[in-house]
Amino acid sequence: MSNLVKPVEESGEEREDLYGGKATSLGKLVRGGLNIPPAVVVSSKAYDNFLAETGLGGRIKVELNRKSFDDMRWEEIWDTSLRIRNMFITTELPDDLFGELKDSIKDFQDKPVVVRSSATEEDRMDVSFAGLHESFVNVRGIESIIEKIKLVWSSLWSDGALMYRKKMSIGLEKSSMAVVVQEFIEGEKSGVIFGKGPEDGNDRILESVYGLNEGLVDGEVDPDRWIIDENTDKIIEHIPISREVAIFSGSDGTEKRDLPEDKREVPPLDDFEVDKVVSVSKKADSLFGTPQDLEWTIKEGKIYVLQSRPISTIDRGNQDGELSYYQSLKPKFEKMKVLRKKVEDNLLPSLVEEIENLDKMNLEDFSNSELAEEVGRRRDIYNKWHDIYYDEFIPLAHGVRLFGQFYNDVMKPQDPYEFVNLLRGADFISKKRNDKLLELTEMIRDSGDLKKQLKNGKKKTDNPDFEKNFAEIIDMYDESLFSSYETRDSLIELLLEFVKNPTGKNRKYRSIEQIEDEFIEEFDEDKRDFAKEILELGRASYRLRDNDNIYMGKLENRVTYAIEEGKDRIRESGRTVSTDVSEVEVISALKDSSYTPKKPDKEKKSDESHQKIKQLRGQPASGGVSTGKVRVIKEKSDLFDFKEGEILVVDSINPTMTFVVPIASGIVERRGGMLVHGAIIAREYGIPCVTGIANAADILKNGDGVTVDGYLGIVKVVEAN
Amino acid sequence: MSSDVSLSDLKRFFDSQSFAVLSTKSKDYPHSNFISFVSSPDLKSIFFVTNRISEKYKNIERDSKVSILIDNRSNSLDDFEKALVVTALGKARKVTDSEKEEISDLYLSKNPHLEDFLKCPSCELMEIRVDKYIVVDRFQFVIEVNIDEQSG
Repeated sequence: MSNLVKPVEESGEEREDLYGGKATSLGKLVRGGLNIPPAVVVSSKAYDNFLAETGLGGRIKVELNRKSFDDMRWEEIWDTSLRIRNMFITTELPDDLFGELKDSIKDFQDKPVVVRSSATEEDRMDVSFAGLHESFVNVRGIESIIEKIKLVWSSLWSDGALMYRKKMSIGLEKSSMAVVVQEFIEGEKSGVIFGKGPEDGNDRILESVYGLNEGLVDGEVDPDRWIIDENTDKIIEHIPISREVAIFSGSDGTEKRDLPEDKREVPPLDDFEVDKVVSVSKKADSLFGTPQDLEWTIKEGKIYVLQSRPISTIDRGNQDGELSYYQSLKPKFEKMKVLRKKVEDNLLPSLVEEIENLDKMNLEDFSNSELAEEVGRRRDIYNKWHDIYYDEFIPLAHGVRLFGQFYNDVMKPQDPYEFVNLLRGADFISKKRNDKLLELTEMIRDSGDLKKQLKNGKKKTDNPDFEKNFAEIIDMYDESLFSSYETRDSLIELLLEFVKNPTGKNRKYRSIEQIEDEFIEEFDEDKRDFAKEILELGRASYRLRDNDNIYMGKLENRVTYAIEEGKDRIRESGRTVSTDVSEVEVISALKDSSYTPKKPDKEKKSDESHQKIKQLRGQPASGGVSTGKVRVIKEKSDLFDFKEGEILVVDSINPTMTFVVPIASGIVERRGGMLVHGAIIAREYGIPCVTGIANAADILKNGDGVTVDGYLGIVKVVEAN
Repeated sequence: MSSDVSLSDLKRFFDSQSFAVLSTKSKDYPHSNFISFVSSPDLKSIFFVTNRISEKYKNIERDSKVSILIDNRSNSLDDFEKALVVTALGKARKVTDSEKEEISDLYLSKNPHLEDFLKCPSCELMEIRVDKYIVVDRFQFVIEVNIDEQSG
């Protein structure tokens, strides 16, 4: 066997830096006489060599140093991870390394295997990485195993792992990864046993499921539980569970299936088997001298230990929630399907209903004190939905990420965001509105007479078709966007700007059907339905995330309406109200007719700096380079000042703002990430976009000449205004 | 290597250094930047990559004359004795499409971590055709190496 790959029994504790925690533990179990499936460990040296020989190590360094970690939102860290993961996928192993690996795992040629991470900092007493790095079950064929080894390597840089290492103050530079390749044992029943109960610190806890324990480990299948007395080894309690599904092996990988009826009534383990697992657990505890968290499976009456790790302080202490948070960043298909259903069938319709109910009220009929109550009530409603937004809507974005990762694994594209093309064309509200605007633009472009009438500021044109479509568009936008503005005039002015720009007209998309076919055809016949299902989930998640933002915007407007009504009444009573007065002040003034609302304190402006910012660095979000004048959007009404060819600079774009994008020549957004609206729509229209520039909307001023390089994520100030 | 600098000595020295300082001529003042580079085996050329929106690119478009400083200073007093500083003077230009593949391979052999930068559509692979090298060894010991005379 090569220097880089050893049987696990040879991975001694003295070289944990080379073989990682998992392999070292397995080695110890074998030497201690426990039964484990045949396994080899690919040492971290192979990982280091791969990084050094291909230059990948340097590329990762460049990627990680694009921006300070502390300034990155989770979405940006996810993007960083995805880019790094794609580097692993698209970087070939050097021939000699490939040859050496191939040669040393040739015994697994015809056997299914499990490919597991064994990071050098994993499974220590003081820090647990359980579930943060990748494992692949039921992998077949040498090439496929090597492919999975690369993916396990890349999981060292997953968003969860990166953030968790930062949280636990584990330096990135020392991170390395060994990989265990272990024969896959398709057990009939499996589980975990904790040498010492993590809950009470005393009794042994055994959990078991039918089939494989992948479902148990990631929480998809609930286990039967046994509490075992620490001193007598007797069962204190068996806690049964309703057994409906289990994880089994598929043609490759695993799949969740319904449990046959006869098994649903019977616990996976009988008392004799419980004893057997307990005795293995005791052996492992004494071998390591510390309680172990053991994963095991039983096949044809024989028990196999799959992995063992110390029950770390993390399991016991209050940091458990922390780890599970980072684990939860790994999206799971089944969970996403459930969440999607909940949002689509339940939450979004109730949100729409909530808005409709508010619209049925006539605020003018309210007395002042009733109106004060109503402002508070609406704020409460908004806050309730704001929580739901964070708890349910935002996690739904994982559906897009899940699909993206899946797409990249299969298609191995050079551009890690190619998958976004496939999401486009889904049924979104903002897309429909923007398309409608372009339709109107075409109408004006094609009719000189219509254009003339509009330019002359005619109140109503003699073109009924235009008038009908125009009315529809006002309807599609939330009326609030125009409430403080001369609706018709401002929208017409904007449309005339659109007419100057042929962008929307000439853009040719590669058809979605074509990209979709190429993607689906990558799969064997029997996998295509699954591929379609995961694409459908990605699309739904993308669409819902767009729509939920729009509805949240509408709901917020309903709060604003009530506040505005309040302000009007205070003014009518002869008191002065500044436009930016706080909600609390409005409520107080409505309740007390002698109270004059206070003006909010103006923030002190910091001294003008002598430094001039010449170039800013953010995240490259949509390729292309363009130069133009800055238009900072702080209020929605600023959008109507937008001129053709300007660079849209904004704190964060929401779907209600995207209609000016077709005439923008670039987008700069403070919020970082590839899946923020600015980035998505910029890619859709093929214009450069840089995201994640802190204070972009404060640093850049209207009229500044800037060049946006969307490939490198750079904004250069060429001519300060 | 002071009195008899050979091209192979210089080549070895260049290969051992990751970064260099490139100076271009802007309208008002010389403009200096930190760059990654690689030199051709015959030392007649030095290659680097830059973004087209950069100052140095704009300067080169206006005036192709540049100088590039490659050194092994350790930022300590030992540098008086030990530092070797080489300045190359030459003219910079864009590498043409037909030359790109071969030169890209050369560039990546020394700077594999900059693959994404090299392939970035807004970047250019640049060549400095070197007219001469000025080698400064042991503080103030200066020799000039005319690249054409040496290689010819």
